[in-house]
Amino acid sequence: MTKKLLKTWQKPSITPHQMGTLNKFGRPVSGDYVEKIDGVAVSDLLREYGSPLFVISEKRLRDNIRQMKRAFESRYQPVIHAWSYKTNYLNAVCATLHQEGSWAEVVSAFEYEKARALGVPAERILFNGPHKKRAILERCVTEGARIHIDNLDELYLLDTIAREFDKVTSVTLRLNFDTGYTEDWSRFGFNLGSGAALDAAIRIGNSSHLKLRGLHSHIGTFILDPRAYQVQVEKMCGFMELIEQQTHALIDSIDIGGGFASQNALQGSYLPTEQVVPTMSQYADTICGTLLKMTAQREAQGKPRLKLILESGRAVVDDSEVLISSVVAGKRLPDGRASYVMDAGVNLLFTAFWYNHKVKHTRPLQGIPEETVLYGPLCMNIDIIRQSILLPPLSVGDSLVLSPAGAYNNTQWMQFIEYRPAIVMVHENSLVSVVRRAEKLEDLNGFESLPTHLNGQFKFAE
Amino acid sequence: MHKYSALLKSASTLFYGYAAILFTENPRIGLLFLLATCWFPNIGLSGLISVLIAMTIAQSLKLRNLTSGLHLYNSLLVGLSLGAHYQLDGRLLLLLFFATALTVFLCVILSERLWLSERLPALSIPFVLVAFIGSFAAQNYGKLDGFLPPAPSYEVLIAAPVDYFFKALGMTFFTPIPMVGLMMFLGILLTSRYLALLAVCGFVVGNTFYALLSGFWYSYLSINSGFNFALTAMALGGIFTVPSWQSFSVAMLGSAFSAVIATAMQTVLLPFGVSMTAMPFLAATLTILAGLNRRYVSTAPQLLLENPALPEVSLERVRLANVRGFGKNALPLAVPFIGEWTVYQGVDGEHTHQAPWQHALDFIMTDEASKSYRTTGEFLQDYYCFGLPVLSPVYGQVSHCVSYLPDHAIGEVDTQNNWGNYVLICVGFQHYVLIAHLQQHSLQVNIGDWVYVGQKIAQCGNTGRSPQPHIHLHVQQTPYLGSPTVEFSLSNVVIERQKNRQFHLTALPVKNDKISAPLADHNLASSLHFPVGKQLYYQFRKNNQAPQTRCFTVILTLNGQFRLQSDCGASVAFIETDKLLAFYDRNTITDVCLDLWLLNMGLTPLMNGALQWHDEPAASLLPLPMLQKGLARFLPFGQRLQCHYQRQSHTETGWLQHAELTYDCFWHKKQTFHAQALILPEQGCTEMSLQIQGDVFEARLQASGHIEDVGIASLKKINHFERMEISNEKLA
Repeated sequence: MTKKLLKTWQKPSITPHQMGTLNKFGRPVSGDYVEKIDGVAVSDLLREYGSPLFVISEKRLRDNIRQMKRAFESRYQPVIHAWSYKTNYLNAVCATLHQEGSWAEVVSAFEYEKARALGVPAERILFNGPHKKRAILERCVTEGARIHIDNLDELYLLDTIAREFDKVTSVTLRLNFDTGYTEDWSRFGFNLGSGAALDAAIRIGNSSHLKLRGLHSHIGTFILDPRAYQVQVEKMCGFMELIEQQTHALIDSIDIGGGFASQNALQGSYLPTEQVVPTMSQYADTICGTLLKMTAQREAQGKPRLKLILESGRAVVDDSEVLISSVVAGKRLPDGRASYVMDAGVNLLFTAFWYNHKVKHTRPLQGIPEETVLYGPLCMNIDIIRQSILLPPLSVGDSLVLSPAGAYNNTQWMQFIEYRPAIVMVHENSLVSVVRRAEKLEDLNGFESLPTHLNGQFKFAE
Repeated sequence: MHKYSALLKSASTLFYGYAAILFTENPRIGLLFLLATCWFPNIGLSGLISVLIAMTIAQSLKLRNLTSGLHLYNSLLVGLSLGAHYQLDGRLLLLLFFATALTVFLCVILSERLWLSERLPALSIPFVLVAFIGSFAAQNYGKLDGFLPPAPSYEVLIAAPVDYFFKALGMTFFTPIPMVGLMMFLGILLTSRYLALLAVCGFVVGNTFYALLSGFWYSYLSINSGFNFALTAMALGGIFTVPSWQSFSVAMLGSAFSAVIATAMQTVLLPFGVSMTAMPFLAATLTILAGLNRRYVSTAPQLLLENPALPEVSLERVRLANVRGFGKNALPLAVPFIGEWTVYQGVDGEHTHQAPWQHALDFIMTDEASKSYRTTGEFLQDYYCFGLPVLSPVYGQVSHCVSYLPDHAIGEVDTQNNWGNYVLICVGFQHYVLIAHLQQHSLQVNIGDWVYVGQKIAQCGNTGRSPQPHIHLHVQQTPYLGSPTVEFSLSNVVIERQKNRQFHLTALPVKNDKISAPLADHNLASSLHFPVGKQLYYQFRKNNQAPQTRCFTVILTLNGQFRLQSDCGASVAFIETDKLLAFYDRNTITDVCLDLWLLNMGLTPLMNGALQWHDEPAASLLPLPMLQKGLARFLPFGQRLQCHYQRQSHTETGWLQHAELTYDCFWHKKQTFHAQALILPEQGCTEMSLQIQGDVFEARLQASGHIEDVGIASLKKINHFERMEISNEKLA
């Protein structure tokens, strides 16, 4: 075996000795490689569905949500997980999570309609976000979805609609405040410190048709210190008691948003992910412990036990999806670094702008790892998947698995220059389904219509 | 109208006095007994006059402690006994008046003294005392004319031994005539079949006992005092204890006692020409009751001195309590954790749960693959339950706790400190709850702290004799570690056993059961809230008959019991907590509409989510066809009704509660019926239906409201009809 391997040809490379320790390039990618995803060979997938290809693991997705629910539900009950559609609104992903009990958290008319079309009852939808036009608000009021009010104009509009339809509507108030651990996210909701939130709560209290039943806040994203959540829960519970005393509101749910970090490496972060990102148990311990303490007397006062709502997206879906991309060409850069042109770039892996994704090859590779740049296929300077990574030499046609790729890529990807590829889901029995087929010219031309006088009669320059 | 109703009330009180002699409450039975006493008008009339005198005295002097009707039947007996010996004339009337007055006063004093000192009922002690006084005194009253009943005919009514029994029974009314005994026996039989059985058995045992020792199978002793044997058996086996084979044995023992006492008294009293009347019955019954009442533990026969009832009624109460898990002396505990856990070792477990520590449960948390850890399970942090919050299962005071012992590695055990870190909570009555193997320094309570149910007290750890992180829970008798354990159960719990998830009011799980505490559903609870004075108006209909409007009202009795009472007087007690609505103790007035409610809502947990549970309401609630209902009423022991409930919750339509009723009786093959109730948010149970052998019973909520009170106007909220139509479609 060893003899046979020694005989194979290796690309020559020149590398300074800097491996084996922590360094700014991370650890070299060697040793382990990904040959199969949930029992299905990567080569088979590429042969069947082409490259590049997004692959979702149904098992991993279910494991993630179950693990998160177990972590929270063993520390506090009742806990509701609302699936943040914007993270990944592929029907297959949403349906899997709804099967696991998750509600839907949407932030636009499009997402709302998508959730309803998928079969989510309106009362299991939380409607968030700063942009809600009259038409969609009317639909939400008639169908009974829970609206998270973002601003005063929305509050007035909603009050008008509820009066017009003569329907008492339960609403949630979105709050923002400083936790001392996170950056200030003051553009969404009503500020606690300035008194805007109390003012809004009193206005809802004075309305005959709006009932304040929930409080919501989202303190940021990729939060690495669980203590931020402790402050969040304390502030929200304190505000709840204040408004329950001052208005007739009876709060039934506290929505702490999302923001749990996934096992992805932020660019510029020095320590490995496993050391930086808290475990789900650590998040749950802090959040549930604080909530139990803050609401200990609530049931004795005859008030309903608070529902804890989580809107975690990234931490649930990110590592359950990967992007497989193949090497189109290799090129040695003038500064000596190796570089490769891949068939997927930031058009598909949008999160490459801020994450250093894990890169794994799909067969054992020979040769010494060297500093490498992975470029995408776009004819644009910014199209870089990894600015710097230690990789052994690759050949044209070699495929790489980029992960985690489940969060925000299938929603923020661009149809720019290239077609968008297929997305497949590997099921728990190792069967594979296409959950979104690859785009074709007809799909894209289908949106367009050509005025008749522009049809043909092209006069090309000689 | 007012006068008429007052008269009716007096008549009913009068009949009640007659019925009370043989422990029944039905005025119609009382009327039957009144007729029976009038076999000899002289006797019957004397009795009736005495009762009327007693009623007048009690009412005009406003005497206390007479609500039970004790003075009525004691006076009646006094009247009957005097009428049996003397001609009813002016002189006897004079004696009747004074004897009755004395009886009434004795009743007032004796009932209170006996209850306060011994928790015993006075029964007919006042009568016996007055009868003795009267008999001895009358021997000096030469002006009284003796009454000699006509010589009894020797025609056999049914058969000699049966007549013999009826004669003895007739002696209760001082009328040893078989026909009178038969009427009385019919009265008992109509009231309670079990009491009738006790009467026959008691007489047979008492008579046999006497016959075996004396050699006389037919004796004057048995005719004159045989009713004592029967009454003793009825009181001991049917009225003051819950029917069981133990109570039956005690009843027979009592009958034999009374036979001995009767024999002895005959010897003593015969020379004086004084009758022993009910003395043997009183001596035997009260002796045995007082003896049983001195026990520390409550085992069979279970005494019912506080609320004596007909055997069928008390048996039903106890049966329902047993079915719902409250029959045993097991301390109900709340689930000491959050989420779904698995029983790792049950009661009498194979590892360490052995006598005297057999009553204990160990809990771990497992995943879909039944593993208790993720990855390899080498480290404590890999275990799902390690570090999870542990809650107090009771309200009590921390009597001792330890928190300094370190959590040891997987596979190690600390046999020096078997229980590891623990919290011991005293709940009183020699019950201490131990929660053990807690995480080092995780305790949030101190010695002397009072803890409430569901309060976080510590975190799950791996200290002491613990092969993997788990929670150990048991109840022990003393505050010392290692003291013997006692029985307990988990309350308000969902148990998943072999893929079948069921809610239990109380249950003792076994190994591998998955346990979780369902959450109270505040919306459901507020939809099914029944404050005093609440009224529900239902449109009730059977098949296609014209619907009738029925009303249920919530009443609060003087002793603090909430009851749901229908407009025809039928009622049922209920208890309402934030987690449960449970009905029990249905009175005997027939009302199909209330029974429809009970079959649908009898036991309703106010919990979240889709739930399944089981209950066994009284089979008499089923509106069976006349013939079957009659048969079922006459043979209450040979039948069983099992209800399997299932509830789906839906925010739009409310809650749909479905009951599968399985009726099993020995004279018919097993039958299954279906009932369904719809509960709407803020409106309550708006629709109920029951299909039974081709008949359909339906009720729809028409309105709900509140009766008026001083300062509070009555309130009636009519339900929206459209809403009902929508929900009806959903139902279909």
